[in-house]
Amino acid sequence: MAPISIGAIIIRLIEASKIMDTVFVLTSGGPGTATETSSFYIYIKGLREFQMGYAATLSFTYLVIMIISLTIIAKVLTKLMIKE
Amino acid sequence: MEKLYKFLKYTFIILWTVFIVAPFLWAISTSFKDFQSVNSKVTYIPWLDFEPTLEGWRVLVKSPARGGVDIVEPYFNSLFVTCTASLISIVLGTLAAYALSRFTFKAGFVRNNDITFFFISQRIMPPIVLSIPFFIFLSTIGLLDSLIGLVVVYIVLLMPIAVWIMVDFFNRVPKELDETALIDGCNPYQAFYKVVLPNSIPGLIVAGMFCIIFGWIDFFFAFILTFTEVQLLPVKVVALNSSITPWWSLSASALISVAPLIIVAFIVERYLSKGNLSGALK
Repeated sequence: MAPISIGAIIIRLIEASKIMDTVFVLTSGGPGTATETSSFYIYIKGLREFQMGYAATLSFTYLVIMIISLTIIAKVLTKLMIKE
Repeated sequence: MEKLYKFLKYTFIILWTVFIVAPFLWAISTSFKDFQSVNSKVTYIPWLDFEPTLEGWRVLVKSPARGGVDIVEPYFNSLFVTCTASLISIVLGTLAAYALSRFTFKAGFVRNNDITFFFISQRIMPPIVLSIPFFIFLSTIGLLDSLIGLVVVYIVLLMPIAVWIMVDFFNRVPKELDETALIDGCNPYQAFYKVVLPNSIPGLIVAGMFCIIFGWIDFFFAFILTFTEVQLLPVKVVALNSSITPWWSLSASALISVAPLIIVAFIVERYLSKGNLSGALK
């Protein structure tokens, strides 16, 4: 049971950290900036205020942070859940 | 103590089911109302509080000049883009997955698993990262507001899913099947096409289902890369919003955009169980 739930948790983590369209349609950033996620912030900077260089830097940094943190999370969860 | 635990489990499951199913039921009942009872008072049960009519569904095909929402053209655009992109990405992805599962690659320190992870990591990346390069790329080529540009971008989006699922599937098809076919006198192409592929039809159907679903509901790339000439379904449904939310046409449009996915899920459901490959190697 445990290895399958690792895969499910990791996949849902990946998908949940990418959401931009739900935030955009439901609250458009929320009252003020209350529900602005990172993806939404990058979209605003890049395609609404047209600061393309800043948005490209932000997205590249976001990509690096995502890859490092998800690799660490995957390894830690695998070690925690499979004890053999 | 057992009974309390069981009671809590069932209560939680029933509450969660109500939480998930209630918006669907609300949308179904709103789309059958006539226009006045949507906004006037609280009405839920048909034939008791309001008379069900089909006016809300007829609004979907009228053009905006006569007070309707024209959803026929975005529907066909969405169907074309999703089906074409899914087909091409399944074909390319299955070939790539077969190569990754059967042959060994070695380039410096990069092995098979690294190449597979490279494919899968295209899905980890948030689509924001790709949106600005794709915008500039498509506008330089001149495909910015067209169906073909969208198909190209969707292939990039959907192929990792196909590779991911099919690599997992081909790793489970026993290699002896391949070798039996090669002994019987096939070349590797025929071994793939005539022996391995008919045995992995469940995997192909699951991969196809995922590609169709992720292609149909994709709002982000359709929103950024198309403006007026080509409109896809999620963009059109979102564009119905204005200062007053049109609950009536919104619920009918939302239901009709979800309906193909429900049909796909019903058709594919019986292939989702594993264990129908164990008798393949006789």
